[in-house]
Amino acid sequence: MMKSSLSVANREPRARGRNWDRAMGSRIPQHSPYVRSGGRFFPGLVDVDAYAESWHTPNQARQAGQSVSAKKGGQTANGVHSADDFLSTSLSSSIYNFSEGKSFTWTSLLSPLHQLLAPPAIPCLTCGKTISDRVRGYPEICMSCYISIPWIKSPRCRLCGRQVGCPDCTRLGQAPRSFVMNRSAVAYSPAMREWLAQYKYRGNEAYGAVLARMTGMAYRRMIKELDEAGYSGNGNGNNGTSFRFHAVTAVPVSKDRMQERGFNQAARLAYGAASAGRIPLLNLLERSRHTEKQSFKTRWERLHDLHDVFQPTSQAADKLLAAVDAVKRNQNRSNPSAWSVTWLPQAVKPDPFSKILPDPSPEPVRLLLVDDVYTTGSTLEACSRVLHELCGRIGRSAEIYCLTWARS
Amino acid sequence: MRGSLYAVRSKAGWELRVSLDLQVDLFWWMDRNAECMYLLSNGMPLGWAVEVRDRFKPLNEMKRWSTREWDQMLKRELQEELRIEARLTSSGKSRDLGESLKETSLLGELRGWLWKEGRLTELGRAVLRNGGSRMEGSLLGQVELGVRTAEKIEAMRESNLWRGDRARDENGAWGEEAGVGRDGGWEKVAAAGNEAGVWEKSVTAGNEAGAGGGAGAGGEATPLAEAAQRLAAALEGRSLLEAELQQLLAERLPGLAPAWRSAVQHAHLQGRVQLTAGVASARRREAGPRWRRARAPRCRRCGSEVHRRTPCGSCGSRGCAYCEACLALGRSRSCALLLRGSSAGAVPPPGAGGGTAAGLAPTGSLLDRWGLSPAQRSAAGQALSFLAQAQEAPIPGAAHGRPSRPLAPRRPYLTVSRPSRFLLWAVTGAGKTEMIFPLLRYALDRGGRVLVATPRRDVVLELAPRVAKAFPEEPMAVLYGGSPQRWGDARLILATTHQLLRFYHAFDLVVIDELDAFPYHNDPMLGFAAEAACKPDGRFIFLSATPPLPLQKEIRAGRLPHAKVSARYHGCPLPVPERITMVSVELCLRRHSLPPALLRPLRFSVQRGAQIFIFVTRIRQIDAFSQLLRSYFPGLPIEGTSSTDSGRTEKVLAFREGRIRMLVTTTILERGVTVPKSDVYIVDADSDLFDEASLVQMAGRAGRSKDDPNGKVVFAAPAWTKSQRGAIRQIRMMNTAAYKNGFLKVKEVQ
Repeated sequence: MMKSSLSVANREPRARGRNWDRAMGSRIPQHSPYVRSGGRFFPGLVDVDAYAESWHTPNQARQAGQSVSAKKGGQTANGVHSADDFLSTSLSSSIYNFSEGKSFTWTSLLSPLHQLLAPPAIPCLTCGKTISDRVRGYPEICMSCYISIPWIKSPRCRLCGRQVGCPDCTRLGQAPRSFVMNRSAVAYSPAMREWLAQYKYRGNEAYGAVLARMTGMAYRRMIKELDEAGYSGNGNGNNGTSFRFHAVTAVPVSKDRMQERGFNQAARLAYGAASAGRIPLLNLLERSRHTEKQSFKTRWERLHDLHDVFQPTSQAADKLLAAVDAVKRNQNRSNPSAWSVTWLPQAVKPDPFSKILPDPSPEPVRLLLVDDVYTTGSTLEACSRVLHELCGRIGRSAEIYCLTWARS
Repeated sequence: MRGSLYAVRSKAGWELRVSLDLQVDLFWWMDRNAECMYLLSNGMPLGWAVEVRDRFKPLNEMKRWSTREWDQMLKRELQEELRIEARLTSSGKSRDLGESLKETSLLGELRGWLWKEGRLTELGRAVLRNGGSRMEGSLLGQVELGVRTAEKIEAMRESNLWRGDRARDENGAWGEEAGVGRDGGWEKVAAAGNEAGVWEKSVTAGNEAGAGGGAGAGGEATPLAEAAQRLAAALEGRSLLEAELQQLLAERLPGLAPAWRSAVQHAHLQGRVQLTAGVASARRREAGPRWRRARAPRCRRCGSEVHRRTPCGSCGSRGCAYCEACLALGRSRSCALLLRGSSAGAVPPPGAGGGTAAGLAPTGSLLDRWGLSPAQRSAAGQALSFLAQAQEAPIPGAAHGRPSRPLAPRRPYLTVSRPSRFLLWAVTGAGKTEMIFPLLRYALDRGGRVLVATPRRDVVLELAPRVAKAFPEEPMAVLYGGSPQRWGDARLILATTHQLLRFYHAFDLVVIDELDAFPYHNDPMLGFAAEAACKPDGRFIFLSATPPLPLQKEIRAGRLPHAKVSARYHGCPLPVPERITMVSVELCLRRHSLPPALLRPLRFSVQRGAQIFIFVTRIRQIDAFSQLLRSYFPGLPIEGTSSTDSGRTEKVLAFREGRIRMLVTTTILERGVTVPKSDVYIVDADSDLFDEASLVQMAGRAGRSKDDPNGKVVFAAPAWTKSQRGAIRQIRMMNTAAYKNGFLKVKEVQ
């Protein structure tokens, strides 16, 4: 069991992508720069959006910075994907460097000569002892800490991913959940609680990388489960395409928390999942604050639940649309048989009416929602409801899948 | 956190200031008739602002500079930071484009002249109106100042024929003394504003208390100065991050919480609070730009190097560094606000000319009432005379044998006056705690603040009642992680060393117990913290039975004043360890047998009815070893404990009471534990884990009580190492010295 998960962790990103290519035939552009930069999104919209982002809040500052980086790479997609949106499809670690700039390097610990003689022995992040046996895929922790992680390998409850029989989901009269299912990486044991507390409250961002990787692993497991269960992209049995999410999003933190902590831990975990699956990470939600000016909300928004904690961000609809179209185009390309050749140019052209009219192929938008801990599921429920409304606005139905790091 | 940065030219010349609340600054400088004020940025990462401020070199022509020239200066100073940002953001392709955009967003949008030739500019007016950056915690940010009031200010000033303080004082409308006048002026404005009725309150959202605070601000016009005064008093001697400040306010000054930014800014302008960033570069950039070598920034709080940079949402930078060493006490980041309250000057030693009775040279009578043994008395007397002497001439850092301070203070001064140190070298069981009581009394009597620092929490908790009993009328604060008294105000403080990070130049006397214990010895951060917590003309007293090697060298060279207490409280010599040759513990465990060389003395100890300590090197050996021992001594209660054992406190208690006869343990019990009638066996004594100090400390567990002063100490190891030899030599030396000085009743038993 463990061996398989270890080997999953060990497999290099590129290798993984390649396997999928061969196995499922889905086109995840890996090498061709043309494919990476070219006509997936609307180049025309690039500059307007990237430069139009003027900084008002620290969150947006980060967004502005990242939009710049998005532009800069020349590889990343442009267009409406400004802000925190990060396209892991053309991820190169230098763009959004979570391994922290001029960071902890081996050389800072030992003199170069020493380095020649022996591999550097760094202390384990969680227990502090020197690591004598390295864990593949997790260089920060020692083997004993790795072994003690309570992975959820086989969720007992199909709905909420709990490891034991689930009284919540089997209760009669339970309102149907807005999300399809939830899967978690680990059980929220005291040790895991400590890890999360160290990351979230203490602010030790080294844990962020570990937790993100674990979330990525859970993501892969989830995809495998979904593939095996036959939920494929085309909705008609497993015909070889892997389960494909349109986008990943994370539960937002409030502005105050952002100011205080400086990071959104759910976003970091979502990044882990997004890079594992090469899916765009979008900033679709934010926490609404009641006294913020209501005037920029549409009447539709104002009429509906004003007291919601969550609301879509201002450009959420556009971003979502772009992501959905991207995936659709990818699928078109990968399944040429599904469309006749003459249809192809039309599918590529931007369709301004797609916002209003429902899509001819009413394929539901598949979104992955990431959070750190699933306790009652009410946060995820609220977010999912908002996401449903959002998708409704662009004329599509939605399927929300939740991925959480821990299940308590 | 983002802070504003502005340059102001007062009579003293140009200076650069960081501001958390621009309105307060504007009012302040308007009051003081500054010549001109230029806003460099209304919101940039705080660390950057602090860097620029610290490196600022005023030039005369600055008053004629245009915006472009100011920008250039700003970018020049921040070259390195911007470079790091660019490196983190870009992937190398279109670098320049991104850089300019990034800079604009990071360095704030507003800039320009705020105050020129005695008049508010347009920008200045805008800042006054909107508060520059509407952030939570700003007093004036909660109240909108109408344009009319701003103009009213101008009219008032012009009508007063603004010529300086004297003019203002003569004009009764502004208040009596200069000090009151300044703040009274603000009040006047507030009052005028109220009359004019142009004050609107707009409460910022995420600030529920803001509603109450806003009402308070507008309604009763709480003088900013009073708030600043109270805040500065609470911050005295402390060094706090923003989160800690919030906790302090919540506990002691709850009314101040919504408007803390303004209060802090006001106190800063008065000079009572220092504003700095948590992490900043270490050296002073005197060398020109060519010279720059990328050196890791240092944490201002704990002095350690910082390597980790992460994208930060609160300052917007991609490479905000944070310190991992002091992470346990809150995150010290590049953009974290670090507040340091200045303390009142140290109580001067009476060396230069007499003083009160307590100030006279300490006599024997001062020591009598503490009931000290003769050895203790002489040492305490020496320490007291050290405390009483005047501050010696400041010695440049090199002479102390330590590396010079890693951080340069903001105002550079050539000779750093460092607190002088004194070492009390007392053997194990000499009664160190009782010895320091007269020293504490002395310092307290002269009105100073005293700190006793111990490395571990349980030691603090053990000391607290003893100190409280000795100083019943003195309010005492006990600080450790999670203590309820964290923000208390007391003159006598007992704390773990990590808590020292929250103090800055606060104490006249710092007593450091167990100088060589974990976690000091490989953690330079704690040494840094201890030194920073003491006032520059305060005093350090180190207590240890086994001072580290560098200190011992200094003693031999005669550079460190010290006093030795070589005899134990009960006047009997230290038990000298004996050596037996034995195979390693691993081998014993594998063979499931103990060698007779060990068994013989063990049986002897058991027979004489002693409690037996057995020290092993590894936690994992404990269970197996105790099992093995049980097989040899059936019927004898034998237990094993370690740091991973949750029931260790109960086991130690049971051991003390005699319910457990033999305790197998690790070095966790090497210090501080007093068990009557005990023998000590150290197996694997040649291990690297047991260095000389550790061996001496472990040997010191034996023979501590008056009834049984001759405990047995056994070093059992296959080899005879330097540390074992050193430990035995040290013990013998102490015994000889004690005998020579006549403290021993009985000559040493060989």
